Amino acid sequence: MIKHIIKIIWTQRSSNILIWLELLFVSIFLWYIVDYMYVQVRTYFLPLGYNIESVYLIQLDEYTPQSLKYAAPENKATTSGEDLLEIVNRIRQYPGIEAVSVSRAAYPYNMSNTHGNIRAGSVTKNYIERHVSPGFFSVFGCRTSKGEGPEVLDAAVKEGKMIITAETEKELFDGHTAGERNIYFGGDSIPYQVGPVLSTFRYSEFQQPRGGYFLLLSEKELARHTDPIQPYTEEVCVRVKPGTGKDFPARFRKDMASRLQVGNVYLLDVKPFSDQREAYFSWEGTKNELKTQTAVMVFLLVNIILGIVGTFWVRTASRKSEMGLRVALGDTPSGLKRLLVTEGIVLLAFAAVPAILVSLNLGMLEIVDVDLLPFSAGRFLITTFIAYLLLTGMIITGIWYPARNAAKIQPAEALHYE
Amino acid sequence: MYKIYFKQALQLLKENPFLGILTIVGTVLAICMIMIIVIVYEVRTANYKPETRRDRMLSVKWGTAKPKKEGGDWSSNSRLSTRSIKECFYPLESAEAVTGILHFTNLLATVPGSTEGFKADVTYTDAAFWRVFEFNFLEGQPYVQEEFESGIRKVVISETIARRLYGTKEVVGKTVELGFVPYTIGGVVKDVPMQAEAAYGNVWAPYTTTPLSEDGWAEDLLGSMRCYILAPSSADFDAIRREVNQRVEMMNGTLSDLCLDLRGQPDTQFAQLSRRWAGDESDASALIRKYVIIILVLLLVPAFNLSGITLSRMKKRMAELGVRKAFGASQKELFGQILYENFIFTLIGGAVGLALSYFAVVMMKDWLLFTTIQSLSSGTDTTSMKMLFKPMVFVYAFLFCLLINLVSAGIPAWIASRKNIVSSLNQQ
Repeated sequence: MIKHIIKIIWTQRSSNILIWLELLFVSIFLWYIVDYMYVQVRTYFLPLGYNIESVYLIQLDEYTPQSLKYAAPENKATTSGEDLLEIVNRIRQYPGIEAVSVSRAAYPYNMSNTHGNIRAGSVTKNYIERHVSPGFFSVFGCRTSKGEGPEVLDAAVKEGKMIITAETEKELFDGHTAGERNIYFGGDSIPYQVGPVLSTFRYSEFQQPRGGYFLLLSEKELARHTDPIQPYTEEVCVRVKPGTGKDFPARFRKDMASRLQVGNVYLLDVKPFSDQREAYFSWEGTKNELKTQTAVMVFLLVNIILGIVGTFWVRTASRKSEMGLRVALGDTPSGLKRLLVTEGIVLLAFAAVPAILVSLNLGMLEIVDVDLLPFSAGRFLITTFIAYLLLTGMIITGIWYPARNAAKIQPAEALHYE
Repeated sequence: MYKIYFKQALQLLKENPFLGILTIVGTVLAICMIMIIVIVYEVRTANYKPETRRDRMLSVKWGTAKPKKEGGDWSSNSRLSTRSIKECFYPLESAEAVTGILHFTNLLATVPGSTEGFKADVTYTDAAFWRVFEFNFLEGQPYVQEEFESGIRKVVISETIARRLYGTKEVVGKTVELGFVPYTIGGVVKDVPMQAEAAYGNVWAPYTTTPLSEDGWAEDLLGSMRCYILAPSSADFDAIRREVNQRVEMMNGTLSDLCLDLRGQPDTQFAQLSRRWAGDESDASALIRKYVIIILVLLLVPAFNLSGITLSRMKKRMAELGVRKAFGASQKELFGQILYENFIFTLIGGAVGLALSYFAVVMMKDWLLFTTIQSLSSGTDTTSMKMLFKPMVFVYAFLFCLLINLVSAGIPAWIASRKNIVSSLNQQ
């Protein structure tokens, strides 16, 4: 049958060449979009290394000298940092709180970050540096690469050990487990002991997993802090116990607003961490970009249907006499439909061969996105499969209706066209 | 005669609903996508309260400080300092009004004596702000120049904030504490949508009341201020730009090491769209080119695909057209008929598409009407229908329908109407 169809396509090559060209261009373009979406969606669903459900962000602020409640440093026994620590203690005692942490440029979906160079042996690399108080890993529900719970990580950071992610471990220690090895800062000679390894800690769903390290933000260090506490620099996060209602922010503010006025520091805002996530996404833009791409893809797919229906309609309509002849010679309507659909798919296959070669080259030349995911055989096979599945679906949709019309024809009527 | 065409078009739709619906779907999709772009564009650039003078307003959002000497390879990009605004913009003689705005900060708003409160977006401005922008005052008055200069703590607040504080909008004369600093409420205005990025806030206070406005760096050229210049009319833009450049050069002349570079600012409302981050170069013509290409693709791709469907429908009617030609219909008449018949489909598709685009804009506001300030603001969203329903939107929609129709029916009609009578009749 295929041989027969190829013969038909060949004899009608003058009208088929246009459809072939359209299919060729469309399949390259569609593959490109499918590949982009595949990479984004795949990255999105990789493990994050943390869990922000039941996590709330508490923002603190300080009275300015103009404020009636302001106490000048010389009239105060405590530093801003000590006031902050007192506030954190009071938060910890609030019913329903499971864990509290203070951190700097550390929580996920952060709009600011710090980088540092660390060295192990002869390898020096630049990573995101995060300063966290013990409790941070419990708040964000992190796990070690061996699957141990957050307590292990919190205990290690409390001892002053450096916590690195599995990616950092792989890059610095060349695949061997970090164990009790030491890490140095840039040109420093004082070693940091490496604690248990964190499974991963991604910046957000749209970033690939990258290495990073965590250092202790100790109470001693915080107590020395004399600059005003700022809502976006001193990050206070809490995890509430399971079963705590959505009314937590309102309840917490009502109960705690006056209790959290210590020294010059006061409570500015309590919000679910998902709000911070949304704010980050709208600031960073990838999510909006992805939505735009999806819209473009849907637009193109619908247009491909339009184009294929149009062309195949004309084709089957102008081949009515041939159809009639086939029916007259004993072909069944369903056989006829099958013939037309197979014809369309064989045509697609003819277009697919050069199209796949072109796509492969686009991939090899790294014109596609290779920052998030390297171009590999697996990626190419999967995206090619999805793209051609979509195309085949669309061709069948496009051919099915004209083919049904053509197959319904009476042999006598059809032969009349001759 | 048009009545007959109309009937014929309906008949066509009945005869082959599948093709008719496909034509309409194709048009819906194209018009919907294009109109989303148009509506978003209107929200970004058209006049609505409080930014009712965008068409004659210029903005300077960023400044660059760099070494005067040649070969200096560093530059610092940020907002402007109060000093730069005072020296380069306030004295502008060609402008009607000039306002300097300190970008909003999140402050706790409370009623005196209470510790419970909520986060407010406080925008610090000067007194000219109230002349550059046109707010809907529900109660009271804005602060005036003398109050601004003497640093009197008087604020204007939005209706929502007034209600959250006191449960009513009649709050003029009462006190609100911002970060526990007391301010007297001078006026209450209608809420401002976040898409009005220049004027946005839900509390407005004189910037002379905050030390933030005194912060300046890079020889006090850069700081945290933006500047908006109201021109008597858009024809004065060039004169204002010239005067701004003169004044910047004058100020630079008094400096020893650094100089201020505005990178082609002041911008029009359209040009500032492409200047999102500090240090961005604005390229308005590139932005226009981008818009034109996107709209062309969105128009032409479906239109060409639709023309395939129209052509297949036309082939069936060749005989009919042949008969009409044989009885003396001119090529022009036939061409007009096909266009007209098809336009009915396009119009249906266009109307549905436009409705759908409004639906999409309202449903997906966070994405489509995205603003750079939404990630930090604590305000509720107050996009109003007045911003979305502009008469020009409907005019554009109709024009785009005409264009789609011309391509999707014009090409097949041209092919069909040129066919020889004999060959058309022969198909009978």
